[in-house]
Amino acid sequence: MTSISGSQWTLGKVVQSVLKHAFLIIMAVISIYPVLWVVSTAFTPGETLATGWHFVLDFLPFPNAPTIDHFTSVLHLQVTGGTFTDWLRNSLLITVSTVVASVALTLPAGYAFSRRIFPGRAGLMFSFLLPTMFPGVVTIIPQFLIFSTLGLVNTYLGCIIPYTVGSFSLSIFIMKGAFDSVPRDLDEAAMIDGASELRAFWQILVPLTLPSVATVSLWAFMGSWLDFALAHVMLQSNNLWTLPLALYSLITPTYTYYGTFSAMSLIMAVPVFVVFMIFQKYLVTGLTAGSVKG
Amino acid sequence: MASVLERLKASKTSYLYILPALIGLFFLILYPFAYNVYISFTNMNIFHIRDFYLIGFANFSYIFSDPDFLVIVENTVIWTFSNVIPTVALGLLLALILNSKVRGKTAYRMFLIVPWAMPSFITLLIWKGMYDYQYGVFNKFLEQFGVTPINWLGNCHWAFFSIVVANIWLGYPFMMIIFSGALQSIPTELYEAASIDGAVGFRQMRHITIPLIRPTIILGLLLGSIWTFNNFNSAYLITAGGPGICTTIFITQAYNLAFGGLLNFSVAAAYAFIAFIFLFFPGLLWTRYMGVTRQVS
Amino acid sequence: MARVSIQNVTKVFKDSPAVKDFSLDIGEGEFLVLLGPSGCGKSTTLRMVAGLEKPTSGNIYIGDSLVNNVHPKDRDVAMVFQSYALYPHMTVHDNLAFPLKMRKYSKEDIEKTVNRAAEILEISELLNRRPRELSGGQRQRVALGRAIVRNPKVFLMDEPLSNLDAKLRVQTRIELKNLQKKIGTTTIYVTHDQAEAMTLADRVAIMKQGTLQQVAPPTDVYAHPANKFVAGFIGSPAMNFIDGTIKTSDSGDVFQCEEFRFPIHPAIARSIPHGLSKKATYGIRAEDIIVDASPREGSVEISVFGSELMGSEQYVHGKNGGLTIVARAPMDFHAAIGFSVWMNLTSANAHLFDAETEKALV
Repeated sequence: MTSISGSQWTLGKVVQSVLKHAFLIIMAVISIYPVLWVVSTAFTPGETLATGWHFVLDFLPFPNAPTIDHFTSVLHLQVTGGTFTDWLRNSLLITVSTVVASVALTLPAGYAFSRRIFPGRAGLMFSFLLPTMFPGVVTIIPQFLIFSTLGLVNTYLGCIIPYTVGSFSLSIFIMKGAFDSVPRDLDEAAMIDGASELRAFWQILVPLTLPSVATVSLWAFMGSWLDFALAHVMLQSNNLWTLPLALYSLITPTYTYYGTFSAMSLIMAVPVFVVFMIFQKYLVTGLTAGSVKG
Repeated sequence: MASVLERLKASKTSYLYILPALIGLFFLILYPFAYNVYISFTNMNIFHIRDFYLIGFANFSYIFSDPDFLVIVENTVIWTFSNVIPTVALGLLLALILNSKVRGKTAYRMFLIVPWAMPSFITLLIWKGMYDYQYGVFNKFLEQFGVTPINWLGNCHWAFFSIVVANIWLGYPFMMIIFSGALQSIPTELYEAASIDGAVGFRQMRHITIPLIRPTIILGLLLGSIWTFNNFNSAYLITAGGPGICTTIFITQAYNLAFGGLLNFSVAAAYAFIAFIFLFFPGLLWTRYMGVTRQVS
Repeated sequence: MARVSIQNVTKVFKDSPAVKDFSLDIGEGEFLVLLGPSGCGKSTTLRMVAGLEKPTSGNIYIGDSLVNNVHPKDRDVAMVFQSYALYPHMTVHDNLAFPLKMRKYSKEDIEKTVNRAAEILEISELLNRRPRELSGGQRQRVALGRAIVRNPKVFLMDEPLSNLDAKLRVQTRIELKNLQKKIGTTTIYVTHDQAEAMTLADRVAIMKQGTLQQVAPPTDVYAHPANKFVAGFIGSPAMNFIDGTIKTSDSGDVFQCEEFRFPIHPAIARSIPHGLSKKATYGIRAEDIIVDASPREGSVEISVFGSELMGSEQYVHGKNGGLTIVARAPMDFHAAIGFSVWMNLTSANAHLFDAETEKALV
């Protein structure tokens, strides 16, 4: 049967394509619009902002006389003893440690949950889920009490440990899923080849689950770099402040330094975005490894 | 049959692997949880910050007899549903489109991820500004068309709508990512076979794509619900629970009680515990779906 | 059923041509096998007939219609994939019913057709199971079932048996051939296994690097290969090739290679122009070589380095200088490793190939 669907096929496809792109463009614009405001404010001179932080007139946020003053002032910012370098150092130290700790702990845990059966397995997995089911705000107090007993208040560890444990909710499941999706045949092949279980783990399984490791790292990074609530409670001396704490100090009851605030927000957001872009191709495999039936 | 003790001994190394995580779990999750439950039965507040004592179910009866309570429950439940369903739907739609033949995928993805990658306390403050009655962009936009400006944050129903929209904005990138992953794991050959069998376009989606990612959809709905239920930022930063208690959900109420002057930690803890009860069943479902039953055979 | 006509089809993927100017006419009800090593373009050609790929140039006809721009679902073809591509979330029954459902058959018709197909393929008890609960052989039959339910114009099969174990493969081969004869649908079958091609095909089309080498019934391809590639690809053990020169003279034609020389059989020699010295490749199959324990006139000395004992016969592997020759011998022939035997390479079934073009001279 000859078919005229040849040309119709193409027309339908063009319409489909146009619709798809239209939708994507609209969503993309919606996605970045609020962020454009942050960018714009960061470049708007202080005097203009001083007349009130209002989103006036322009739909397209664009500063009339762009300036980078706010960015430089961020770098020279000083709040009773702490400087930008201090905050950056603190944030970096804490965040990197959190990422390392998170990976180090969720790898073996995910492996154990995936490959082994032991009493209490189900219950323990459920327990790791508790933090999400529980309003985090309220657990901060008991956590603070424990840490003050341990003398860990106002130390790096006081933040690293909670951040790491906090990431477990998702990360352990991610790693378990990743190990689930590696066929057991590989374990057995490795052991026949002479590898002990530990070596099989390090040299065979872990390399195969790198996308998930990347996901866990990204997750730990995001949870730690941007956290305010816990840091606020745990870190009291000014020179131990992390970036989010410094950021919040810009909002005083009397006045909000919007320009500096926006500039600093952007500076803080850029690493997140960069890390994200680097890891994003792993993100997809990492989050879904093992969760879709093969 | 191996006794419990024997089984425990055999699983020695398993426990070793999870030991550090276990310690963290115990101290930072289980203990605070237990502590919280404990406190909810006491009268810890600003008047009794150290010398608090057990008062039984008093906090709970206080909460349940509070006329506001039902409103808060209603708010929280509607909050959860009205967030999760559009977020999952949007994420799914975006993932489906990005999985099909369309050019510029990487560029689109980069933009679509932004709501998730940006620190939410900043973007939410922007949203708050956009909703501003006098100066906000939304009302400016409406004015252009001669529509009367809407009191986005002052009117009870609009306030709720506003925070939901902002929260959906925060949420769809994540859903988009997990659905993209699920879609990519469907072998192309299935689509080819379906083409030959006579299914194209929507029919393919209906008979092949959707059924195969059904597990992921359920996962997204479950996880999304659990997370949204206790999502603090959107509800607090934009409206702080107001006007009145229009946008108050469990967690904002708990926060206000705990840190709003009276330091009423015990009632806050009680609220938190009630929230936990609500989420117990979905949490259980999530565990079973995600991990426990999916043992490596 | 319908004819299929592929005319001057070329397919280029990003600068590398997968199929080059391929032309082939397949008759109604014919079982045609596309045979060749991996990467030769056979699967691509099949997929173009299915409509899963579009030819860069050329035309494809199914029946009398030009189908270049016709969507796979409108071409009335059915395909069996190498990996079966069964819908994992549907039962066997629903997998079989799916193509019919898409074409809006009535419920009764669907049931009838599905059950009939299940009977033919002996999978009736499996109708309520899911693909992951089935063995490889069972899945393969379900894949076949999905193809036959629709009674299409053409069956397209892409190495459907390669995932089965050897014994099952041989068994299924024969069942498949019978099935096709019974149903009578035109079939295009892709494989890299020459034994499979020989068993199944009405005609075999051999491809190499995108071009058609030869298309003919299996016996022809075996006995009269068009070029050295075809000759070497078909038949097991592979044909022996000896590079050398044809020396024609009045005393008789002789094949001269580095290691030795031997007479060319008169039946072949007749076709060679006289008085020439021509570089060529001599091809002879193991079963056409006569092995002797002692020297004979016209035979060459070969040193034995091994022997394959097949039970009813043996294949003697021997060397002389740089040459390796495999010859068939009866089981009781004693071929001692390291010792010499004499092989008579003169045969009326031998082949000569041009040294440059590799085309058959005879």
